Amino acid sequence: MRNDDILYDYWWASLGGNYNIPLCRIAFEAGGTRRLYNMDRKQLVKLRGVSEKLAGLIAEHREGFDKASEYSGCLEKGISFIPFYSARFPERLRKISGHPFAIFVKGELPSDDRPCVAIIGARDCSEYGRRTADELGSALAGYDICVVSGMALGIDGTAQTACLNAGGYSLGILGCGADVCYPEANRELYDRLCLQGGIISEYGPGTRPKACLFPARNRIISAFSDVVVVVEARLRSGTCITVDMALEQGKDVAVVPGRITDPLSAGCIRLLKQGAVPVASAEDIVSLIVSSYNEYPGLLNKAAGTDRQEDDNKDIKDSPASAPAEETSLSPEERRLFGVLDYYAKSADKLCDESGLGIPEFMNAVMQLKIKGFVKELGKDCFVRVL
Amino acid sequence: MVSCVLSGGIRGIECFLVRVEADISEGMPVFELVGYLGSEVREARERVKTALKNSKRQLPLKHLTVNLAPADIRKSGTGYDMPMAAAILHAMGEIPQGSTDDTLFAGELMLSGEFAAINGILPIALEAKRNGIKRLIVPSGNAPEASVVDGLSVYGIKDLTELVSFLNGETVIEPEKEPPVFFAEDSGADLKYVNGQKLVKRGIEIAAAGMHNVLMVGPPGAGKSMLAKCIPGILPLLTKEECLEVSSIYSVAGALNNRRIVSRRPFMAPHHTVTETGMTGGGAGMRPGCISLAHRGVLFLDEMPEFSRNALESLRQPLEDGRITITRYRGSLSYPSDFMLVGAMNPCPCGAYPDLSRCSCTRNEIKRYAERLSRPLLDRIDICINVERLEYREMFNKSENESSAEVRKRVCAAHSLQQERFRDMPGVYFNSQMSPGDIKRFCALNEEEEQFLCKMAEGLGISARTYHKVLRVARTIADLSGLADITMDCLTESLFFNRMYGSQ
Repeated sequence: MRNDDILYDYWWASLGGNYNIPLCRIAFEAGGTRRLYNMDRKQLVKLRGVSEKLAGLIAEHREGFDKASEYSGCLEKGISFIPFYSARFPERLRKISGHPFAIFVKGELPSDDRPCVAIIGARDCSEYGRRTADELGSALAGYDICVVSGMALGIDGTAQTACLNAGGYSLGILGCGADVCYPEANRELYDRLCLQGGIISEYGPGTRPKACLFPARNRIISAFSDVVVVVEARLRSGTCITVDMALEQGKDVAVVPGRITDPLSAGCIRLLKQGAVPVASAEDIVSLIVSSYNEYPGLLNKAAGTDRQEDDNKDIKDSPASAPAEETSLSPEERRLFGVLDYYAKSADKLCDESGLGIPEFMNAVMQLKIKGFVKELGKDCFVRVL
Repeated sequence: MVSCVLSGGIRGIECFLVRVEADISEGMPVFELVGYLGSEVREARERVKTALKNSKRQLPLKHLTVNLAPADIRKSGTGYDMPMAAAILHAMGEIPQGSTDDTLFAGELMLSGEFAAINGILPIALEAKRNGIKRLIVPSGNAPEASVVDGLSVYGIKDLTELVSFLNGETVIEPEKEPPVFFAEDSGADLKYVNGQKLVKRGIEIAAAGMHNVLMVGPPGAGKSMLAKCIPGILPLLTKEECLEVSSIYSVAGALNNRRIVSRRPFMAPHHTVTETGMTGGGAGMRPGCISLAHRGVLFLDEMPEFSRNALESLRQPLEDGRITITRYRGSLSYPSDFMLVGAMNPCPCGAYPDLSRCSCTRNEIKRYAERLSRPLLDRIDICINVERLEYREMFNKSENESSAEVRKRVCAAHSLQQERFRDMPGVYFNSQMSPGDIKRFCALNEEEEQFLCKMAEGLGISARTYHKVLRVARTIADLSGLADITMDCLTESLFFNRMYGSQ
């Protein structure tokens, strides 16, 4: 292998991001990326899996692509380029069929002996989902388990942020270039992942987020994880794609149950019916990992260190991370109102009726609860309980 | 010999007196028409000439000059036809000396010699009365509208022949006398037909009591429009002066539509495609726009974020001053536009937020939707209420709801308290108009309440800018309860209604 082989690989890898192209297979077919690079259009078309259009695309990609400067530019951005044959290429990613040709990494990769759990779910999650993701994320950090997710709004980002806040390590898998922060609202999380965790993308730097790239990145999320935990998912959602990938790859799928009436839980309920493992706390997830894998002796010790008997009886509401603030700090009216609040938005009118409070008492109570952080307001005058 | 009759011209909703002078002298048979005239006034020459001929009063073959004084104000409109004809007839000696004294003429002529009704007769009648003119001669179609002004004999005339015989004293015409209907009850929307929505009703009652601007947020079909339509019905009835003021605007706009007078609070609901000019007025003829037609009433903007930015931002000056000044190349005009703004919007593009089970919008879409209403505009809205879709159970609830008339009683009581409070302050009638200085004077808080407000505002993240809004609304709430001082409950309620959509 010559020294500049990596440049050809880099050129080839950065072709991804336009479409979902089986980069690996074509490279094998051609007998290496250097030879690919030097083929003309006619030769390209002769390769299996290369259409007229793709050959044009490859030829076009060759034009004006200065391999050396692009590659050094990528390194300068702090992105390392790891092709699949490199020793640094994560073992678990190599195991899956259709693994990426190469990955672009910012920050650090998890070591192969660190247990990883994917926490995935709806972007437009409910307060209940957000809270659950938050608790699971920080509790898993306590077990030194890596939280893998897609850095999306809602469940994904919440779980990852919580994990980082608890001092844990988290891995974000992007459907755009590793140097592109998407969604922009998660800029803080992105910056922290670069320092405290890792960011992986199979697409070249500068690739803009495209809807067609996201399903493909889901297979990397599941590839990295020992268990995929679904927090809230609609019937048709990206989360379900990740679950399918995980099952194909032989991973365990765990689900945090929701209410049967809630469309945000419809996907979860279906998974449970199909045999997914219900989990209600980080401890449940840990024991699932321990029972399925023998590869993590450290985790086994940690899990054994806690009193299992007690853990089993623990449900999320009583876990220490979420102990409700002293309800005794509430006035009788506030407590009465708190009782009729739900994890789903209820309008002020309804709450006022259900609590049986007069208008001024109700208004005072609801604003006091808001100030004290017991309720959150969605839209205008629609409230959900926080704890 | 120069003959001279009086008429009136319209500028905005103001009227100015015009002297129409006619002179017949020897010379070439020409009809000269001067006095800074718009094209429709210049066309009057042909109408008058032909109408006179068709009424068997042929113009003499002499040099005829007609002047509209003052000659430095531009004249527009078709109301000068009748005074021109009267002045010419006078100069021809067809009508006796002195028969046009102390009389104001206005009306359009048709070629047959018949008179047609014109727009803006009410401001002309009001101006005539102000100038001590005793008699008003108008086309018969305009007589009912003009007769609203008392202390003025209004004669409705059919055609030129009738005009001549009337002025000659050959025909006797009774002055128009039918008294106008003031204080008409509102029809249609009534709060008693609205089930549930306790907090919303409370919100609009407070808004009506202090003439605060309101924004209603809620999903489609929740009843926002219905509630908005109820608002004129809980506002006090128009006073006679207000009726005349509002009717003047409608008269100028040609929007009276055979009504003699506007006796109900106006309710204007322009469609969201309305242009800036449609909103403010202007355009050809410098007509009043929606905001002036909503004067003393309600301007309801349904689907508020869908309105063009320009149309919405043009509301800012009128909301502050209660008037709109339109400046165009022909000069500038000012129309009154003191209205209560009632806005309605969906919480998100699809309308279902925060019901996550039905809403399909992303967080960014929701945020952008809320941001379509600019900060400065929201700063002028004191009350924001959420309107929730009713459940079926509640929709078919047969229990009696409070009617608009009962709510109006409380609102009226609050209004009279405010009149008392602001009696020595010209231009201020309602709590919503209080300046920061007035707020200091009328909304003083005790130590305890002040601390409470500070703590709440801080906790809820209410900026200092909205502090005055909170106090204004709290003052209104206290007025509604007949309290002299603002209590803790008033502040709580005010804070609740003050929080704007999108600030959470």
